[in-house]
Amino acid sequence: MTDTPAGDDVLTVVLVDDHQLFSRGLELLLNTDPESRVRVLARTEDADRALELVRHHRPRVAIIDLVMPPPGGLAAVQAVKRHYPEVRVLALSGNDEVASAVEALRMGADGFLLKSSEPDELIPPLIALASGLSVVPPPVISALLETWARSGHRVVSDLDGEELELLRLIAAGLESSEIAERLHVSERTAKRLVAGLLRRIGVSNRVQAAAVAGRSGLLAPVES
Amino acid sequence: MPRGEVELDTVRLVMIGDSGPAGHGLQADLEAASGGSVAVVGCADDSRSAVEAVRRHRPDVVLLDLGATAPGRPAAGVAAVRELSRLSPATRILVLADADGEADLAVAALTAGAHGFLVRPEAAGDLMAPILAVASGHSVLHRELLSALVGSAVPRDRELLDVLTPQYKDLWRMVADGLETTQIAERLYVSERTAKRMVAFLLRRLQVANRIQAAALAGRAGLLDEVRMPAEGSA
Repeated sequence: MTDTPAGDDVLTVVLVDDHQLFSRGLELLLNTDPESRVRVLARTEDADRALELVRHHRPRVAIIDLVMPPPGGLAAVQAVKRHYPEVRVLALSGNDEVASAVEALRMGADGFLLKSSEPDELIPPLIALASGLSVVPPPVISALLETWARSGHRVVSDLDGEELELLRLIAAGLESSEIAERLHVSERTAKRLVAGLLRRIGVSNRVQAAAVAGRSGLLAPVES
Repeated sequence: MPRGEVELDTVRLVMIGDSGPAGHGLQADLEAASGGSVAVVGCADDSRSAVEAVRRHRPDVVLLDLGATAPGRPAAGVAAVRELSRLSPATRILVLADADGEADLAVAALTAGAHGFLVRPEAAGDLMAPILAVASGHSVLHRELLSALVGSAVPRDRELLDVLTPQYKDLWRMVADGLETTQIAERLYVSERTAKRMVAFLLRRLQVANRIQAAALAGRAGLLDEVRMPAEGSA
């Protein structure tokens, strides 16, 4: 493939996929967009070469298949994002397992598409991704929303500064008398405040409150 | 979908909150930028007329400006999302917000049935790709929001989970759930004395001083997120 410099408005892409048939088809499809919005600069079938390809071509988007022989697509995603965080990574997979999509997003992928997506409908998601948005299948969003709901983020984000401080004190295992001292209130008031907070976050005791605090990311990481 | 062949590729759009007093008047720019791929078939400026427009047009995509639909009352905007998504499940709802700071608002909108949540772009043309992407079944959201959602799925101190046996992980869950020693003993079919000894061992292993700290650590380590994983199902 000739490597002529692309204009600023052309969305440049490299493809990392061991399935040549799919990869060539995708290249052809993207390069023949009637509005010439996309240009594939290079392809590789080897996950190990993803980083090299990105380094050499500096595309705006790297499309990486997750299901490839070792080191595999996930490693390629991680390598590219670590060295070139500004390059947008779109993870592709032929299987619709939500867990592998979440794993790719965790590794830094900016979006995830199923290979079964209509090929001629790939360009809008690609453009959205290049413009700084994330594109993922709705079931992945549902799974993430569920995790979010269970993570305590929601509960804790409703609390104000004083309530957060109180929750931190509870999670540190302080007794009512110690909490009273820190907050400069009577022990009775401290007890009342704690009871009110437990109700507010929907738990029945201090231990559960501590678990919610830990889960919500409110507490500093463990000292090692 | 029974629709005229000519229009098969045209995404039919209803805009909500765009032309009202607080709206941004994107319609003309949007249609101009779309080159025929998007047709605005209806507009509405409040929740009630939105329902009417969606009922009448059954659009492929609804573009809902959260700030303009219910100014100052984002919860009402979210309620509108819920109602429209119930009214026309096949319609994809793309929500536009003023700022990206409010993850909770975005989460509420997505949970209510929205397929996209974006900060309103400067140029109407930048809405084209997201509109077409949601129309073809993808979810679209701003990158920071995805990071926040994925971040909530990332346990930070996972190493702890790997060093404990499944039995001690169960025990840790019980402790984190606030169970008393007697209750723990009952669940594990051991004496109260043994249960106490086991808890003491667990606390030492976790290097924490008491049960509350063990609970906080359980939350942080992701132990409590694992509970509903199918692999550890409690059938």
